[in-house]
Amino acid sequence: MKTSWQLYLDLVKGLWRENPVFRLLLGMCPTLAVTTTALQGFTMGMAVVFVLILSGVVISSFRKFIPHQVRIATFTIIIATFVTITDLTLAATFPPMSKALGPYVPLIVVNCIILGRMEAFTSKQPVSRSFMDALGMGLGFTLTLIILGSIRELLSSGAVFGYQILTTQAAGGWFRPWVIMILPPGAFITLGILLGIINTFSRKS
Amino acid sequence: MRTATRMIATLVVVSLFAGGTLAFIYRWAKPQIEAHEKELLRQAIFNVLPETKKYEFSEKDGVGIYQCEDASGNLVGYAFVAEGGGYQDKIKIMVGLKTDLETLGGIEILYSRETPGLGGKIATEDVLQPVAETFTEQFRELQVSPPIEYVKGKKPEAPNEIQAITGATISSRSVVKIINEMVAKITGILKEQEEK
Repeated sequence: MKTSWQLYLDLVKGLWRENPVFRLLLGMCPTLAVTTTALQGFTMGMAVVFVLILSGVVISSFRKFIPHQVRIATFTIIIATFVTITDLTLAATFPPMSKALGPYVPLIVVNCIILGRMEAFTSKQPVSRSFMDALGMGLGFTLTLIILGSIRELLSSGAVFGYQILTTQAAGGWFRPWVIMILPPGAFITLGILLGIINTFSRKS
Repeated sequence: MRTATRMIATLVVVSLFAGGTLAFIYRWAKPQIEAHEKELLRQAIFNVLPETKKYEFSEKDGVGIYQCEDASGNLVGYAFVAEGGGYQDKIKIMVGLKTDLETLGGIEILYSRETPGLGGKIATEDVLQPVAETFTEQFRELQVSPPIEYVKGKKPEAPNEIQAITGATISSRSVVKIINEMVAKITGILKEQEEK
């Protein structure tokens, strides 16, 4: 009972209390860069979930064999391997998305969330807890990217996940798309406002 | 000494495994990635010369040309890839040239990394504009002799003019320049070949 409660806690902390983007402010580069549409945010999130879980399981399984002095080098090789697998798989099976995400999939290698979790959590914990931690952190990251992507996609083209919600002027409706939301400033503004709202709420409680 | 050996052994084993796995995945992914690229090229050719039903690739003086034919085997034009510097990175364009060597069938941007929202509009449709008025659509049936010119802030008048994207003159100019240079080169090669 106690262990399953522990596993549950490991999972949910990534979703809110230690959400990698909103609370730890890690992995900002892909967060800002790829969230021009909700689908891109989702795909990026899934790629990170995949890399986090597999590296987590592998590193946690072999944590007792990895000498302390070369642990970061070893982690990096393992993470880079899974990232390359993700990149190649995406390019082979889903080329338009691979093109849209551009260099940000290979850049998962240097994503602070992954190396940070490996160093801070996985390298000291058993496989089951590492798995839940990776899943929680990954899902928390994905959720954040979907929120950001949905807001930006809605304001820049009137759609969410490609599903048209507001009719744009070009299509004869009233909505005039905000071009700034597809540009980098749109990412900073959206993230800033969301962080502000979240900090206000968490201070009150 | 023992730690040193362990460190080396760990890194060697991990790297060997990583290398092996990647080699395996790469062998699976490579043919699929190549197939996708070929398909994109095929669609680009059909887009820039819409009457095309089949095409043949040949290389002349180090330049690759796709000779395009319609359903009954008549030559409809030549498609080729033009490449050159843009605002941030190179731009690759598939250009369709009709048989008179003076009219474009159309163009399609194959690769570009221009600023999203500004120069990026050369490749993607603008959310504020209907598809028929996008940048690349201006090149349909455009005259290339005399060479293409661009105008700023007004509608094009001459048959060889296009309107540059507001805020992205460099990207627009680059596209025009890349096409003009390549068209001149291709026309030269094709005319020379005719004379022979």
